[in-house]
Amino acid sequence: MTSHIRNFSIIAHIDHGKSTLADRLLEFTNTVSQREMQEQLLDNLDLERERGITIKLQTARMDYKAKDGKNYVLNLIDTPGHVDFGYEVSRSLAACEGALLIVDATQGVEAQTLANVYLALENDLEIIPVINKIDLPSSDVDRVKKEIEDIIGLDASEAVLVSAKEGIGISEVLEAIVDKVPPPKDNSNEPLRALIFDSYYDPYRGIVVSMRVIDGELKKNEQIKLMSAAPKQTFEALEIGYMRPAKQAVEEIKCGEVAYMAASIKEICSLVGDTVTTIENGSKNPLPGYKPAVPMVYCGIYPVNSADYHELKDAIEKLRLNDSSITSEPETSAALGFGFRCGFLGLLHMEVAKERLEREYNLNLIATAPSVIYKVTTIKGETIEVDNPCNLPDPVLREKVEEPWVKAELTCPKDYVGTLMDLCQERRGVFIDMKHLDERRTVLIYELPLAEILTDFFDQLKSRSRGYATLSYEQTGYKEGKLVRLDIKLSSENVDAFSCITHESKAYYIGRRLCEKLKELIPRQMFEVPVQAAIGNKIIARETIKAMRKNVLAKCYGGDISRKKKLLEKQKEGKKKMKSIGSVEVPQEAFLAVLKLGDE
Amino acid sequence: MLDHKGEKYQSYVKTLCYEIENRSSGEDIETIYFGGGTPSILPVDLIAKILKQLRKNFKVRSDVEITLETNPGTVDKLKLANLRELGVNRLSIGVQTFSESLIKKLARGHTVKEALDTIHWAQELGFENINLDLIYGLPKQSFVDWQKTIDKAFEQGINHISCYSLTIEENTPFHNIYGNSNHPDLPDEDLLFEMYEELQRYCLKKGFNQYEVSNFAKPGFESKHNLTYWRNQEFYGFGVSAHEYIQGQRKAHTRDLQNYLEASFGQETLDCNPQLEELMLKLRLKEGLNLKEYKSRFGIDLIQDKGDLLTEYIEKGLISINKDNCNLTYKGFLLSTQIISQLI
Repeated sequence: MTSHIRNFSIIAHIDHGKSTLADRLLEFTNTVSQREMQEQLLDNLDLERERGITIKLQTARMDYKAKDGKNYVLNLIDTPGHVDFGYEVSRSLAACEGALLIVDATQGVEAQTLANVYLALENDLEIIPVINKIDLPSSDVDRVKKEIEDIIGLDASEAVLVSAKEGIGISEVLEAIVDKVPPPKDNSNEPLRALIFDSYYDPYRGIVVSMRVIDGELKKNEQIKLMSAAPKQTFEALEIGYMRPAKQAVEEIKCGEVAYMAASIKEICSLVGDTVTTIENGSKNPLPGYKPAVPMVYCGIYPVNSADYHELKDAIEKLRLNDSSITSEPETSAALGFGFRCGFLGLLHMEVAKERLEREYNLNLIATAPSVIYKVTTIKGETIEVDNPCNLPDPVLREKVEEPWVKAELTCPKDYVGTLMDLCQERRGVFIDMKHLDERRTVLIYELPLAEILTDFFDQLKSRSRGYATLSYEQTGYKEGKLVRLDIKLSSENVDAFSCITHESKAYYIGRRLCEKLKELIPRQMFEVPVQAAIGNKIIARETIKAMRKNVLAKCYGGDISRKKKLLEKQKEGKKKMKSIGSVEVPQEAFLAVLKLGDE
Repeated sequence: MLDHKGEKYQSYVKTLCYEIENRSSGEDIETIYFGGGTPSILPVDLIAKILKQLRKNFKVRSDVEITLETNPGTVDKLKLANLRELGVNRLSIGVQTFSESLIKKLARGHTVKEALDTIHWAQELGFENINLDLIYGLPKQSFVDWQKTIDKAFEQGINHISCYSLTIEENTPFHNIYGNSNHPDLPDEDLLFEMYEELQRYCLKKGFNQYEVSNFAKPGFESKHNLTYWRNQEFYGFGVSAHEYIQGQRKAHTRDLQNYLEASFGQETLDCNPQLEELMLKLRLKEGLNLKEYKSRFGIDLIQDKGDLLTEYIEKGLISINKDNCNLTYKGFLLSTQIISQLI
């Protein structure tokens, strides 16, 4: 029997109040008492709370007694809102029958909202429009309703009006979920098939998966297998249960339910999208998995301390279990030693992944400049893909270099159209179209090289539009460009980790800025260090880091040497965070300099 | 006449004397140093009491060096005469700077005239062993300001100079104004370098040896007491916030007076890292570190372990090695922190 179950997720543009609404639902259903309520409970990672964004999907099971007098089980699967995390969104949608679409009562429908609505529609989900932040004086419910109907094409007449912050309209949301989201199909009598939509590594339990039972049922201690990752291996469902959102172990999971399972799976492999079935009377056909995510951005990730290579390897494997959209390949750098070339869905995704690796696995890491995949045709007529600037063949050996382009939609209030067109122009954008959504808002459509979006485009977009503009983009294909490799030399030695591929027209500017930035960020050494930017053999910019001249500790007062000792130890500790390149000590931040050239 | 302060001094010195008696073991004493805060504000009779107690409980040698840190404005000529009478034979005078405007900002509570008076009285009374404490790198201090202060110091005909660059410590009024270091009023690394080098040049010209990173003296006038610290030798410490190194243990007294009076001297044992301390202290001295001794004590052969680094430093003229002795050059002194941190 599945008629009492409702599986739903929440889709919303970033900042439209998704996490706050999720919190209110948990509170209202007494899933979490007020006392336990930590602001934005579902944002579990420290990083999520600090940045105010959801990165990882989370699930929560709520019990709700509806106005019809019946008891329902509501499973909420939280989703991230940022453009980079679309893959996570599609995973959570596949486990649901319905979705709440949150639209800010002031901001209205945003480009990103659309992308996620399409994802939901592809998954045949019932979509319930929820208009949030109606308490704000600037809210305009009628306009937003009209937008939902005009732009998305959904009937907004029954949209639920909510202020998650003030707790208005929460019971109406719950009633709408019960009324409108269809219950899961009752396939209880079929052989077990459960779709894994998330997983993480627990040092005691092994791999813990989150899954949605599509067909059949699963009992505790039943023998199971993973249909694509390990079809020949047998595991035991040692612990199964619900997330409320804290784990609650149960004896049995029924058809239609959302649950976690720990089955002593130790081998680290990607499980997301896999199907769980029983050994006895199991299903023969796995469920359709997900479209594998395609990374757009690549960068090298290296341990500051080369001895941490194996820890890093282990950490990346564990992180990939939790975030299967990351790809990784071992690589070596002359400057940084052994590391990995990792692929990410976007720049934010890359930053978040690096920070998670550092925090959750206690590593000191260096990420090299992000790169897209370039297609290079050599003079012999071969085409090779280059995801690391160091591998770009010499100019004499290459016929042409092509780079990926995207079609970008920038939605903004009309006052900012001018400044955003400037931005796109600076980034080699090609204007395609301009549409007026309504009297206030305009959509700019540009074609842009992906590489140009990867540097601080998003930050610039936000700062130039005071946060109002939004961006969505999709890759359109490859185009030839006049691209060159810019190298950086410290003390006349090439530092491969600083190399980047850039458009010829920008190489001088970037070279000069990089040299200036590095001069600022690399502390004085015991000797003079020239910093040079070069294209091939041609030096295009130069700065000099002067030699350190004085570094003397002051008093050793009255035989009190403790402070001096501390200072020396601190100095030594500080060195650990530096990477020695040749004889030059380079701080971690210097490797990020390449990313942040735009803040002049 | 006893005012409130006087009572405080009395009870402090009483506990101090009790501590000396209690912890003494009758060893030989070669140097005595009154330092930290402003010991020169203590009335002469109390200083006499402390010295008497030391003489009673230790074997104080006849050629003992007794230093009193003296802040200008806290002593007059009569007091200096009495102190000399008691056996004080070395004065370390906290001049800091001879610039009237800079001394005001330092809020040291004394004037340039008071500093000069103190020096002159001491000399008239026959004190030969006088040190001047100077600070460079003060906010808005120019190179010329600094030159004037050095000039004035040497004009006085003293035999010892200690010189430190301003360090801004947290939780001080200076820190509130200037933060950590990048304040535009503070001299930058290049200017600090010039100032320090200028002092080195002056000292060389005037026949002063830079026998330690921050200390300059005419031959024979080195501070015996401070050499004890830098040679990593043991010493007793008595009284509030005093440090000591006895029987291989470093200890610090509480910094809180009340705590000192009540909690049987409030001593706390500090982390001790003899190897690091040996390296860090001895390399501050011109006489340097004996590599053979270092190897036999800690089992570490610096030449083997840090050969490349040492070669690099020798080539750059930062370190010199003669037989078993390793020492920083004058140029190396300027980068001592950097060098030492790489060698530990």
